[in-house]
Amino acid sequence: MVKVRAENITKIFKTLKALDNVSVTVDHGLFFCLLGPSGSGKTTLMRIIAGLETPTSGSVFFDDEDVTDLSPSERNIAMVFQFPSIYPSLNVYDNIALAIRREVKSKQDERERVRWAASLLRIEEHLNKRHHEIDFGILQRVSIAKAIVRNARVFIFDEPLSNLDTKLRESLRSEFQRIHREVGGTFIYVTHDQLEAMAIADRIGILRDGRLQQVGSPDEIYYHPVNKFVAYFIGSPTINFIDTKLKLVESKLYASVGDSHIELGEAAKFALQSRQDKLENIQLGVRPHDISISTAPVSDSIPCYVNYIESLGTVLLVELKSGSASFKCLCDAGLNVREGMQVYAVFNKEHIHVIDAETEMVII
Amino acid sequence: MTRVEIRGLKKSFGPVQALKGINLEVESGALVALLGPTGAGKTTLLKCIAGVEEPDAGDILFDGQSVLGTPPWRRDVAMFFQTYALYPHMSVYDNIAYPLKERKWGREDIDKSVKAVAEKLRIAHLLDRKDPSTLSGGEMQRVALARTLVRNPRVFLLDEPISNLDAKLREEMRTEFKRLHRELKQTIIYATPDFLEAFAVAEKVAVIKDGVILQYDTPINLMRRPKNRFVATFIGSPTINIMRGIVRRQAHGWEFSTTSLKIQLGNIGASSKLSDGSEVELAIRPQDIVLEAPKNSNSFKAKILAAERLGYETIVTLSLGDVELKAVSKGMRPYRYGDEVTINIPGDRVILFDVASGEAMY
Amino acid sequence: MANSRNNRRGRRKIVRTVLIYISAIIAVIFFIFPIYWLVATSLKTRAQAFSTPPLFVWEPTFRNFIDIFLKRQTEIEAITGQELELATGAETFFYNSFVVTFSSIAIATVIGVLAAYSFSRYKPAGTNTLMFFILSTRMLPAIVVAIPIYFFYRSLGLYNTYIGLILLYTMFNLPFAVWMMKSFFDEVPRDIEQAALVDGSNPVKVFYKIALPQVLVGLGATIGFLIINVWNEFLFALLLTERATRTVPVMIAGTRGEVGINWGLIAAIETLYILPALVLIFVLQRFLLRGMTFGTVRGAK
Repeated sequence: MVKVRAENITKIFKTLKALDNVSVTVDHGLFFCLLGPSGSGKTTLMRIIAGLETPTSGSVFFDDEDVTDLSPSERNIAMVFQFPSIYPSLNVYDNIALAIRREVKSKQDERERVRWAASLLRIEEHLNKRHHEIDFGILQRVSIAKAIVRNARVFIFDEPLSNLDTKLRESLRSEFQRIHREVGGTFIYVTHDQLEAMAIADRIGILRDGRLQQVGSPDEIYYHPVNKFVAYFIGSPTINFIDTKLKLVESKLYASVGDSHIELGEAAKFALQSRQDKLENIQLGVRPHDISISTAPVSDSIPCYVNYIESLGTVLLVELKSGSASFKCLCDAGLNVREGMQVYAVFNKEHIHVIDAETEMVII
Repeated sequence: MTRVEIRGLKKSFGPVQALKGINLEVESGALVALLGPTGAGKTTLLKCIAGVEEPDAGDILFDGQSVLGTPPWRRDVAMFFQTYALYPHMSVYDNIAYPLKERKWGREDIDKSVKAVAEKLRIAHLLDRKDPSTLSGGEMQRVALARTLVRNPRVFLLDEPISNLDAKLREEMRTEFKRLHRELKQTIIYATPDFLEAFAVAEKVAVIKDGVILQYDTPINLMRRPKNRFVATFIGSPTINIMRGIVRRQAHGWEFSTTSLKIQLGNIGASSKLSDGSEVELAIRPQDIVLEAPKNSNSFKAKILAAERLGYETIVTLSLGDVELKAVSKGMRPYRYGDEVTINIPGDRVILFDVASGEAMY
Repeated sequence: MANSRNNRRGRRKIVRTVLIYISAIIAVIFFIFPIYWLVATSLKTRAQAFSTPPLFVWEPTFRNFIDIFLKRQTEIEAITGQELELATGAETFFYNSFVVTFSSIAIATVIGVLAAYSFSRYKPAGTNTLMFFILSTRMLPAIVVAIPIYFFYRSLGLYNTYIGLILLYTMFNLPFAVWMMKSFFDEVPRDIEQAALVDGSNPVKVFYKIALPQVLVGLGATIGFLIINVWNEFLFALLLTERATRTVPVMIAGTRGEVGINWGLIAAIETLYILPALVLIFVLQRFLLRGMTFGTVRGAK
């Protein structure tokens, strides 16, 4: 269980700059998630931390030891990949035992540790089976068991759930928190699925085109995204971006939304004070579930009409239009709305973001 | 706009029966989703409709006329393959133009149509690429889609068109498809293993498993009144909670009990099918479990095992004695492992299943 | 500290590169040397070719190449005192080789490709048995059937005919062509052909517009192998031909000088003979390369 520090990592592949001066610190025992779309550099960064690639410049430290030149086995890390890594000629028990063969001192010790790992991953009943007798989902659990059974310094997961069916992914995902708690190691987890990151990580580092956008806890990133990309990438359904014009009227700050306008809170007014002259090119960022609709007029709401409705099972994603502005809101399936209806949208003031459209930075 | 009917379709590959008698009716101009896990028979069914696979028994009718005698190149169907199936030795432009060239369209018409569909899918800048294998996954998908949409056939068949994309991109494409359907106004059959996708896109969904259609209904009905255990567990995220226990008739109504809890059943219409003392399975959707409920009947103390805070909702894994349940709460809730919370299971939202057959009891 | 690390890395890289180059050069010399020696010998007189130690520097002569087609009759010269140059008619042999090779490869390829496609796509009943049967013909050492075929051909009047030799070579090459092309067709994803069917192509069009272009790599490789098989074939050419249809390999064996073996002359014939094959392989090589860079377009999952 170590503290992992990647400092000023730059990686260039021929003409492609995969990582541009990225620095990341993972405190010991933390569950850290590297999140980003394909091509963002998250896998490259993970491979550099694991030792499968060498950085063009920069170093990797485990605690205070410089491990940049060490091979993965020299670094003593455990890895889980997208595909199960099982030796087909051995049964599950032996597969897991093989991982710690060099570490254990007695057969008893080995048996205890294998059983502990198997019970943690809920695969005790499969210990005697061979790989062709087991489902894909269980195979992936075995791969994870093989990793956590070891006394590794760092545990690295490369999109381990991305090849599983939705149901399997869900159930394994919800167990990851428990697994991390029991193992207590430093976990580095790579994924492109922000739901996964939000669900299980202690801290998330978002990458885009080789640059680190923001590092923080799920709360911090969700409620205080630092730029437009982070706000867009985190949160499902995707956040709404609405072009707006700001106006200060009698010490109240108003933002236009379509044909109407809403009042922004004190915090927003405060944050924008320093930008008095630059109230141009502003966008509002509001999450669909921070908007509610009412069929009756409500003060400080936006009159709009329902453009269309997307059913998501127990909830509805309703697209509303007002003038040239269009945005989506999340409501209960039971709500009686139909396309074409005139409704009133209320925005949750506490969670409205004001974004500078030019720099794409979030102001508040 | 064609009405598609499938009657008693059967298809085997050697000893494996992929389709065991499919009956399906798709109204003209409708978008129907074919929802099922991998291996359920979705691809086989689509390929039979397209004509590249020949069924062993049954019939397929377009507007009331059997098309089994018509070879695929004359059936006037467009299909999107899960593997994209782009022609590797042709440029992007030629790939998209291929169906039109085969139907002997004029060069100008071809050019107009190809450019139009490329614009709509935002791949116009890729038309000159000579080698499709140099495209990214998302780009390949859109080229394959362009090839499918460039014509105006009687039926569109889409086999998992967005499964291979990143999570975020998939979300965006779901909305795009709904929009596309409104514009095209064509009959579309859309296969996917993801129920959220099926619900977002389709008006009616056919749940298929092991070559049989289990239920064909609107999304709301599939959620609220699943016909059997498989449909109930397959649809819904997180997966519906299922417990096994005994039902007993009490003075105030029926009661379901396991070793850890007793749930008073409300008016769920199953009463006529229950027999006192029999074993049943009780299912309750995570969204229906109320967290931090006031104390009344069907309230229980539970310990929090995990809390997945996803932004717009928090999925909580609860432990009640030897039962583990999942519940969903709106927004980001500050639950932590070890917290104790009182939950309520509404007696009128539960669904009962027969243990042996898996059929729902209403 | 970073500098010394980079230096260490750099040094390791240089050593590796040097080692790779040295091994490559050794391998190249190993393969090229026989050919170099062959061409060198073709440019030497008989005396020069025989010298010990072998000559690496000498004055080259092209006389051997001329001698292939125009024989100097040194005996006649001794009798009549005149230098005579008679045509040897060797052109015929080269022509024969071309005709027989080209025809048999063309037939074997066309039939082979069509057969392979049928086996691959339509899998008619008994495919596996037939494929094994085809493979088994390759396990037969040709010499076993040499005598029977000789008698067979004589009685059928196929002896010393173009058709006879072409038929024979086609028969030998067909199994190989079918077997190789079938495995290449097997590699073409079914989905792509099904997409073409749905897009409006009938199966014939699917074959030559979609399937065939994808196996061009395999086709090039197959034709390359067939050329090697036929171009150099000696046994049956020897048995079944006389002067009219004789091919070059047989001619080489029969080339004798008046006084012992004229290595220079033989080397010249061989140099001339491998030239067309080299050129063809060179052309096919570019073809093969182009085919390989297309790759397969798969939906990533």
